[in-house]
Amino acid sequence: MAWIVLVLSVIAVVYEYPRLRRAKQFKELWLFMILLAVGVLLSVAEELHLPIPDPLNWLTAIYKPMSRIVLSALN
Amino acid sequence: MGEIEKGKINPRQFSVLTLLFSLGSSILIVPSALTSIAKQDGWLAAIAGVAGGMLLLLLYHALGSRYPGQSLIQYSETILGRWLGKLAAVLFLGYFFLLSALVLRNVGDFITTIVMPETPIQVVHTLFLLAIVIGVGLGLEVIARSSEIFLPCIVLLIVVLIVFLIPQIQFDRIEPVFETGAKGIIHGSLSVLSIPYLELVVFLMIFPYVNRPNKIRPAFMKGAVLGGLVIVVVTMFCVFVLGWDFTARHTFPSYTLAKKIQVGEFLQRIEVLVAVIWFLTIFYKLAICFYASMLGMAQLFRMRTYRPLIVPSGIILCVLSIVVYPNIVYFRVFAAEIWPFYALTMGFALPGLLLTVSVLKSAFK
Repeated sequence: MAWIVLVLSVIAVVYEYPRLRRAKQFKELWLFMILLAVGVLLSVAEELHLPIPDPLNWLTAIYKPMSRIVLSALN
Repeated sequence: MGEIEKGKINPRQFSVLTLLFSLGSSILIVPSALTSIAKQDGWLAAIAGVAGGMLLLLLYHALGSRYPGQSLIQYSETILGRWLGKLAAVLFLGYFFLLSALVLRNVGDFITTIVMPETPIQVVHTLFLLAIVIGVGLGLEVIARSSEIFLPCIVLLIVVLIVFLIPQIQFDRIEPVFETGAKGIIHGSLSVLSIPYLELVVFLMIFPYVNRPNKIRPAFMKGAVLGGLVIVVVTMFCVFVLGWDFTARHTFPSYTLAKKIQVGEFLQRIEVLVAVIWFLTIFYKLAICFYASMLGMAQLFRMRTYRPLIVPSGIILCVLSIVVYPNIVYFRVFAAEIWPFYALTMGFALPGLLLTVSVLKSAFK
């Protein structure tokens, strides 16, 4: 899957970079490049089965105590 | 700085989008969550959840109508000040984006477990996301207008599903009514409340683009009530036709429900109709969530357009939707135990806080 992402990103850069640069939208350009880099890194990491932080685990860690109290009160 | 979204939608389109949003993913997942907690009283829990959802809509409307012409992300900065407001905006964006990833994964799970078991889930996600990326790139007006085109098709399919199931009803399956008691019903209603209604906070992002702001409240309520009605009816039919234990064991009970359709000897196995209803509704749900997170990000960074962000965010979304949970059991436990509380924080506590601060601010001025 990572190669599709790479091809897509190259197309996106070829399409967006000159346009944003000509329009002097540097903030947009920066954010575009940062997000694209994050996306490419994440998909390469996924392809190589590297551990990727999972937001659901963070949410579970935050809400578990609250959930336990409320759900046991409802049972 | 001009407006990022130049399109305008009318109250009717707003109402249709609300309806499709509240059906997307909930119609397939919620009956199982409801019946696993409230057993045969799942439909009562659904009614309680819809009633609670209406109160939430009043809260959203009260908040949204205080700042006409501004979206949730913009007025959270106006209300809480620059830095706290940005923090709230980031939390909301995280919620919308995570919601998009979960919704996309629901599509992938459904297709790879039921329709096309040999297709890799990444392929399903990529193809579905491609349509979403094109839709979001075209903007809100296009999404809203196309939803009006698909609405009759969805209504027809829902009516077909319900009418053809009437002969299969066994009324004794719903007895004893009210066995679980008030506690069970409240607990069960959390799932309906959290799966479409607390997610409707996303609509605060498109409030400013409705061309007649005074018509927002009836349109919003109408869409959400109709969506709620469909969820209640589908849950009732699941209990009536499949029985609560069978419904609770299935991940996608309304799909199994449609397999039961048998009219004479010739009309059977039309369950793919449910899949069509679901793809159409979930497309709009995902499109709105993704659109809201793109628009919100552009507003947060005060950009002139959100369009350059779509492809990179789509790539991130695709990876996130794969890694977001390892298997469906994890998701079911998460959806039952953790998601309602997260959704309550983002869909009730935070908008409630914004409204309170805003009211206090104008009172002390």
